[in-house]
Amino acid sequence: MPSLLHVFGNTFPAFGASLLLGAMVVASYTFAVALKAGADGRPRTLQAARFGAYGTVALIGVAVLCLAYAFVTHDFRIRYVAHYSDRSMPLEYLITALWGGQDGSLLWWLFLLSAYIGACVLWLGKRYLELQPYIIATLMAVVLFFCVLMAFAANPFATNVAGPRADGEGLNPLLQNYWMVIHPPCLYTGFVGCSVPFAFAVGALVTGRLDHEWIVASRKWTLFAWMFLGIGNTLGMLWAYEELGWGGYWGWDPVENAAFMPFLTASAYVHSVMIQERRGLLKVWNVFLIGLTFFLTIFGTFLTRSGMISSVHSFAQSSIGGYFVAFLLILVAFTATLVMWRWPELRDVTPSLRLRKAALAAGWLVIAACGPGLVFVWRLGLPVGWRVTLIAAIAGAAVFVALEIVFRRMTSGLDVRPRRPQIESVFSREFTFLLNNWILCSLLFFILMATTFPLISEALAGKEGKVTVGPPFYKAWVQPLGLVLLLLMGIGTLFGWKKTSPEALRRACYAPLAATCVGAGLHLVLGRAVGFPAIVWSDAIYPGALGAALRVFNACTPLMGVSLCVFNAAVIVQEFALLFRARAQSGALRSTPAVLWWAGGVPGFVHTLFSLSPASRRRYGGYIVHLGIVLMFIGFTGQSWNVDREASLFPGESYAVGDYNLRYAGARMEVDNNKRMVFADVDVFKSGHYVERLSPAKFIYKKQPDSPTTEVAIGHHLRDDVYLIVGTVNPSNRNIAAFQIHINPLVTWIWLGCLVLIAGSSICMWPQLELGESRVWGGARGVAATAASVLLGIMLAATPAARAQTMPHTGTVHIENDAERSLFSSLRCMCGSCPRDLLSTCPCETADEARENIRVKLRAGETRDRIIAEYADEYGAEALAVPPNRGVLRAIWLVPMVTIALGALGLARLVRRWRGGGSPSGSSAPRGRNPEGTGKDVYDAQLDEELKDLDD
Amino acid sequence: MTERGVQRRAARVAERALDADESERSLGRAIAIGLPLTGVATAVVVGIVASFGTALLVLAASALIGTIALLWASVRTLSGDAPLPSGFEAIARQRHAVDPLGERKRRVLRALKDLEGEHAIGKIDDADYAAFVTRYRAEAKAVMREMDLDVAPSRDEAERIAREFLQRKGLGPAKSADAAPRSPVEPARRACGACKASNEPDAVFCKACGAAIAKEHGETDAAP
Repeated sequence: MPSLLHVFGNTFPAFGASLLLGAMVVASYTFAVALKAGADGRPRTLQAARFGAYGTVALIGVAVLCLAYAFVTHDFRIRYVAHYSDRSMPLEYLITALWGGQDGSLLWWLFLLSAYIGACVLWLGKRYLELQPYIIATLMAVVLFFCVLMAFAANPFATNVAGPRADGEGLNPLLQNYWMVIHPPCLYTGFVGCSVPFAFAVGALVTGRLDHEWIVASRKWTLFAWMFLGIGNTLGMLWAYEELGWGGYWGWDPVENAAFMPFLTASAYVHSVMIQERRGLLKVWNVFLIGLTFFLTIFGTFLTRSGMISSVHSFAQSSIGGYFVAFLLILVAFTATLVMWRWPELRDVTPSLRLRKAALAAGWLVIAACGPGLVFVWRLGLPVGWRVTLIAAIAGAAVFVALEIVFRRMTSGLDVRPRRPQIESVFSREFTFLLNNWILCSLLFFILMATTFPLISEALAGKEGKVTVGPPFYKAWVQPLGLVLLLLMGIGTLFGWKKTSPEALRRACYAPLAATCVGAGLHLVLGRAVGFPAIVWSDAIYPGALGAALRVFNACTPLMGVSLCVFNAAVIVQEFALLFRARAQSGALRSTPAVLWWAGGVPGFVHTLFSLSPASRRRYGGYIVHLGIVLMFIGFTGQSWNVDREASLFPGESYAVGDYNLRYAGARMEVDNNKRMVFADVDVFKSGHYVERLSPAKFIYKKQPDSPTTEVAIGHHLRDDVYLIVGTVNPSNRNIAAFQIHINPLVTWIWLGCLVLIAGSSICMWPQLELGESRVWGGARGVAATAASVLLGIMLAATPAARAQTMPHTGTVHIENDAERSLFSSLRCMCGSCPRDLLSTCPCETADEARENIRVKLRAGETRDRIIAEYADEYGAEALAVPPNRGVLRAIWLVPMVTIALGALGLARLVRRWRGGGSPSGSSAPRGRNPEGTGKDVYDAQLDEELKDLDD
Repeated sequence: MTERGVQRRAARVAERALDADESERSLGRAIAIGLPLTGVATAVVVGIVASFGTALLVLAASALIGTIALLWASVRTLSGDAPLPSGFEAIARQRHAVDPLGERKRRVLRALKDLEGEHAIGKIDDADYAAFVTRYRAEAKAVMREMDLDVAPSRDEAERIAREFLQRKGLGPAKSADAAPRSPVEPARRACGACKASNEPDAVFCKACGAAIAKEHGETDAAP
């Protein structure tokens, strides 16, 4: 096709690169003008900054469009285009190749950021004029970082040194599929979205407007980013499930964990801001949480790309880690300084310059002083693990303590203690939200520790001591934490704001507890009969007492999981019942037209939700989000009942597993433009009835004939997923095919749960009519927001027709019995070329040999522990999927558990302080002429009027 | 030229400036909507006629034009040549300082609203609810009194200025209505004839039982 490349001659790549430099210039200009607008407070300067922000957005759009053009026209002068595409790729994958590699995905990040900035500046309009300049400046600073990164380290427009190539290398087939199309954009939308609430927090810190204003302003943005973090993580799970083809959806890969961690902090944040809104408490904590969320999003990208921790995402490794570290350091230093500067306001004391300077000086002096002190601690003769723990704790606590000391000394003459208790009762939503924060942050800390433990272990114990942390470790430890979270989620919903009367609480507990007991009882009795036994034993991950304790707990996980899910569902249903009862009593139910009820009940339900006040709507939307999470937990519980089998079948043979009968019908071959496809057709029967035909396949790409990809075939059903993988099809032996068969129960509930989560979030984000707006405009906005979410849901729900998937090696894994399976799942393949594969999943030759050796030892009668020990002796501690529970390596669970316990203690102390502050009777002494009596006065009428109008 | 003529000419110049401002704003709005639409439309046409790649290029070109236009607008705004959106300056003048009393009042009102909601769905018993409401209402009223006292001097001053202005124009009442910082003359709350519940002064139906509340004799429709 004739392209306009000739018009540009040789300068198109240079043009693209200069666009990035131009974006840097425009972003700097906008940054400067925004700061000026903040300083002089003139609306003119602010408007100029807004235009500058829009200009930056447009310029970045130009850059992305130019790169897209280069892909579509196969401009192989550009190294990135040549590396990630070829002439045979269809159009949609050409576009997705934009984010297939590092440079392009950084540009994509920048593009999403600019879209957010454009939307945010537009939305801000003439509101929050005091915060706007600093919001814009912060966002421009982030843009600048990515521009600098791309201009100097990862330029997507860089040209091939050797000149243009005839054809490109093509995109990794692993990435040429539907889920790859939407997984990174959705996840990035979540990651990038966290910049906006962070910018609001910085604006609040700089201007000192630290009350509820910035929280209310950033609420929808936070919810939106949180929702997309959830969607992005779920899509990642879907991708792993449909594409990576090892039978599961979450491998506790470092990159997966890096995407999950900001979701945890963001979830904690959306709860704790409600306390700040209502009570003015936790100001420092909220600023810290949102800063941490933003930090984790950048940190996650850094982990993926720096290659520090090997992962399945190793296609993205590069040398740009240094830039990220610098940015993260600047980010932490800047935010810490801001917080120190605003310490008086954050602690509700009238600020003065003296206080501020003292806080800043104290904070930075401590950080500087920590240096030699930490070196000193390092040289003490303690075990290394203890040294590291001590240093981390000291440095963090020292700054906090220093600030508090300075603060108290300088305010010793003032009456700064709160004049009345900060919270009325422990039986309140305020307290349960604190618990929510505690458990979410505990989970976060645990996962952070485990993800970075390979690095820590290498630092502590040298190269020989480096360990890997594999899925068995996470499964054993995260399950208890997850169950505590599920329990607290249900209990928290039972409490109300301010105080829940003990009698009311008792009444509220009857129905859910009854439902839980019935559910647990039914599960215990009937579980095995329906194929979902309540107790499922697995192997201990450690020898000894700790391993045994974990083993017992994890055996009861299915029972506890199901019971807690029933509990939560019952609590949520009860809450809605209470709502409808209250509305019926007050007559508000009549505002819903009766016809909506007769039309199946759901329209009436939805109408009621939308006619609630915004605060109530957010509350009940939140309950629907909780329901979505409960459904996802049901899906996660299903893992306990997974069945994995291998079978080699001739055409016509059948294999029985559970209720299913799988008959191998035969093999067939198809060819298309870029690949040969070998299908193995399998007819699935359940309890004698024909269900469907599944066709797992192997795709042999022309570009990569030595590594055929395996296409998985999944039969999705509400109860079980039938998951088939074909290893080899041997045409010279009557097309005998080697199959891997997985029966994965309840997985579909995870995807359903995500859809419910989206619905709940949309309800929370539903826009409220502003005064003076017409109903039509409000309705239009709401519809647009819903449509976007529903579209996303449809994309999630639609099952793609053809998928492709690559495993690093070809071949099949033979596992003959459960003893072998348990051993192979505890040991890693040490061939060196697969990132973290276990012996149970890696099909390479080295793994085959290792498996055969182990088989021989098993037949000779060696015990499991002995075989594991010998393997570790031969290959080092890194060969174990679970870090051994000895010496300094205990830190991986000891440090988090101790921190969690300390956190609980800290929480108890905090609550005690909040409860006991000041005299129990008091409000402030009134200055008015009317004595504080019990008679009605003029203010009562005004109060009632304002309460009636209060609608936020 | 006479003073009147000079005044008239100044008024005309100002009017023309306002018109110019308004027309520049309309131009800005037109470009803001027209440029993207034109760009997308042209890209679609080119994409159908030529190729998808060329359509992308057209989109990129229109985005580049947009960038230049926006930066031009930014620099012009900074230099003072371009008018601001209508009403922007007025809103900017209404800057609110951090208001601790207002914040406290907002929180107390929120607390009362929360309590009402929790009581309605049965999470707080009547006894606890009554105790809380008494305490929070007392605090709310105390805060409101404090706010009124803070505002009272400014309110007095504002009323005085308004009165003097009206008197100068010959419009206002000759003598001031009252000099108290706040008029306590509020109509009393209405009791329902059927169930005796207390209702707002302007209520037409009782909020507890739904019965109609009879208008008092001689009452007008003036808002309290």
